[in-house]
Amino acid sequence: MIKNNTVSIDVSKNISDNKSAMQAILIKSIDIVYYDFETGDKQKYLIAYLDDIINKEILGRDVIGVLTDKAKSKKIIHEKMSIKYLKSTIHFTNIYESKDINEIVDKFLSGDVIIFIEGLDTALCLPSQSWQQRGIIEPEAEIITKGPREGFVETLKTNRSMIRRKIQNTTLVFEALELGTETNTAINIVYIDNIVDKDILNELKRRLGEIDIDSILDTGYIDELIKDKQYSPFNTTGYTERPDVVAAKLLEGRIAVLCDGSPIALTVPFLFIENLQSNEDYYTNFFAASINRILRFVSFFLTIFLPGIFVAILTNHHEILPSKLLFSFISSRSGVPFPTIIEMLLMILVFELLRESGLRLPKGLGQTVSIVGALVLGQAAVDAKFISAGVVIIIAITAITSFIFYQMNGAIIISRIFITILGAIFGLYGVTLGLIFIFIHMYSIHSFGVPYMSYIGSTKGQDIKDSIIRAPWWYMYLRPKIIAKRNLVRKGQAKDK
Amino acid sequence: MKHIKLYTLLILIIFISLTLSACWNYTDIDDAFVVMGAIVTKDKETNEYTLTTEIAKSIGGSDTHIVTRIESTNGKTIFEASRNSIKKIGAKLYWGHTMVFIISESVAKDGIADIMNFISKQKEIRADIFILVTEDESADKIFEFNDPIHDDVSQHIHDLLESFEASGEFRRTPSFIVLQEIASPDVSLMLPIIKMIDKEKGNSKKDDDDSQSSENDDKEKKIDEILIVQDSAVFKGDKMVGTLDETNSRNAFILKKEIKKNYVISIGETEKTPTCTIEIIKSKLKIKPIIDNDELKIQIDLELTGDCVEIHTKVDFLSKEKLEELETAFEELIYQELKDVTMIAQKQYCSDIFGFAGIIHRNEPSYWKENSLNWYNLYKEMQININISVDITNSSLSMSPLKVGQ
Repeated sequence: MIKNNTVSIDVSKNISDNKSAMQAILIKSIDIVYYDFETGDKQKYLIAYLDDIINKEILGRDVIGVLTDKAKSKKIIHEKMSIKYLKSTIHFTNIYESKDINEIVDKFLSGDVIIFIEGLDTALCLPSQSWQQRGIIEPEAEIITKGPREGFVETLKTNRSMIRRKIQNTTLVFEALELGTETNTAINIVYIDNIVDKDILNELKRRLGEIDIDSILDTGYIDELIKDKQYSPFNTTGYTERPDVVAAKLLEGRIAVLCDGSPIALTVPFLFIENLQSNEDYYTNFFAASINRILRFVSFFLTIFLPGIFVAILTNHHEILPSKLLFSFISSRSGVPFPTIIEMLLMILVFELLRESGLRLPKGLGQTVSIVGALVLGQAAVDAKFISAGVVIIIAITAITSFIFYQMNGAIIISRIFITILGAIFGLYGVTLGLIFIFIHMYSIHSFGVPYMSYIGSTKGQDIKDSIIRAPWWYMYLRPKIIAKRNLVRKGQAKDK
Repeated sequence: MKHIKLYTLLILIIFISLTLSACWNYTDIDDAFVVMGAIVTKDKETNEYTLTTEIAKSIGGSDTHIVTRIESTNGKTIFEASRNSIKKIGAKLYWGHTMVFIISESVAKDGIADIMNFISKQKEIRADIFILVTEDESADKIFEFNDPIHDDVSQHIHDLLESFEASGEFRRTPSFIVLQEIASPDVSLMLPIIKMIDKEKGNSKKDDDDSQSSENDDKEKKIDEILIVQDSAVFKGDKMVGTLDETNSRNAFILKKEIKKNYVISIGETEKTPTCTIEIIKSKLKIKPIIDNDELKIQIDLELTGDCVEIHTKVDFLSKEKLEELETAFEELIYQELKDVTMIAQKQYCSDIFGFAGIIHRNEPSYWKENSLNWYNLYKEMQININISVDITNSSLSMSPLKVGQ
């Protein structure tokens, strides 16, 4: 609405003209305050601000107070009133001058205090934003046992400060832009100038520039709008709530996108392998970290393929089972009315329901859900011969392993159901086909020009150092080749290259 | 939408190729009637095959137990008999977990090629299913046997054969080996015999494994007969020609290199030596054909290293001089036993169970080329030289005999 108004209106020397110009643009609202006052020397000022998002203490003390005091003590005459004088008088940094009402309104909406001065055709914009913000706490979605405990908050400035505190370097760059025609949300692009790949940076800027949307309320909006393969369930942008993760990714040559009002930072380019990495890997012993990595790899396959393989074996390949296991499955299924595939799909559905309802509930009620889930479904359903015990066990394993990959939940659920149905119809042949299909799809994805599956299956030392295992720090002397090709060497010992 | 034809074609191709190549065999696991074991006999009146199957199914949710059902059906072929069982059981038999396939003696004497043909052709039967021979009288009774330790008889027989090494008197005979040996001109087949014997008789037998299981017999059901794997059936081609008793079976397996260690040899009390058992811990067997003036001889060198595990004497037989006497006694015993088994195989059955043909084939290819058609005549008359050396090196944990205080 405001952006569309391309006609520029100049600031008038008369403050009441300015007031009416502002009022013409800004629809009347109770939080808009126009305060005009006159100092001892008959100088008139008009101050406009948004009541709830500025620091009124500073305004009163360092602006109005100082102006009236000065006027009393030093009777300056009208002719001497100038921007230079005001800037030297007001105790404020980062004062912006503007002669365009439209620009002033933009500043005003973002929380600046605007001062119009009678007799001058320039207005001053004082950035004195202040509002209540959440404390810096450990993000609940990314809890670790060893490592920094701070997480981003909803205020862009605070988030910036957290990153800057971690990387005290001349080359760390924040670039600002605004997105959302209605919300004018402040967005920051963060990168380290001498490591980042300029092609990727330009591509990111191009895509951000192409975004045409009325509102950005979270980085999730941006995520979807700048994604490479828009219809793929696999995410090609990473997100995190942790400044330490962002710092680490910046140092590998990645770019972060911060958004005002969201505690989540996006990082690009994003590779599949990052789903299997955790920041804690780098803070603990590399043996422990490598074991965890391998576990995550195994879990990824289990969570997608286990129900499918189970259904395939139980319906198409009875001969694979050892005889004793066969009889134990037969007896667990005896009396169960549904075919195995229906059972399995029902349980997958029930589990997703439990997960979803548990997620949105207040903490106290969460326990009720787990009791209902565990007792009613786990025990009673098996006892009542409604579901066979084997299926419940498989779903339990699937569920446990799926929690490791909460970031790619959507992709995993879709793949799992797809594989399960293929397994029921075609047996293990179908499961294999599904695996091939999913892999072809995953290998076809790019994230900002970088192949999504980079480093998977590579046998070169510096490629696997941070994939299926986490190599010790002294061995990781190169940055990821494919992302930080401009400045590859992480530390001195690099012999090759 | 200009590509709509292309996409339709693609989807069709993918769908059709998927549906054409898959096996389309969706059966829920609890619908399967699992055949655990089968016995093939011949109906004397109609000359049809009778297939007796032990079908197992587990019931009862958390408190699993396996129930079995035994059903006999007739058919001109075994497959027909198996299909005929649908009428009785109400489902197609599932052969994927069959463990043992037992052939009755009379069928075996007519030739087992047809039965092996069924086993190798049938898509569900595994290649490691055990093949056994049974006496005709026992055939009907085997699956009725009730062993409280095992859920079903087939599992019981399977376990018996699995532990062959310690006994040394029979061997595992998975179907792929049976098929190989039937087809091969280099060796003749030996199959273990399973039979039901009187309980008392079973107890008096020295076979420890089976007498133990008889002690655990069900008390409610009075069982007069127990199941035992004993003796071996000797085949020539695919036809059974006779049997070997326990000692001869063991010695045949020694010559076949099927057993190499862990078997025991006992000697009874004589004037010179006391009762003694040695366990063979190492053996070295060399079989070499010798062609001497166009006359074929087989030279067998067997070196055994044993551990004296039990000796009933008060004299220290493990001293240097006495030990030699003991070793000589064992050498004589084994020599005689090996001589016996080769004589039976050569003269009585004329069946090359030891695989001498293969050895000659490999070592003397030119001789084999000339004489392979005449092999069994040569085999019958062939001279076999046996050279045995027994070395008792260990004496288990105690060196000297136990002193009994007066």
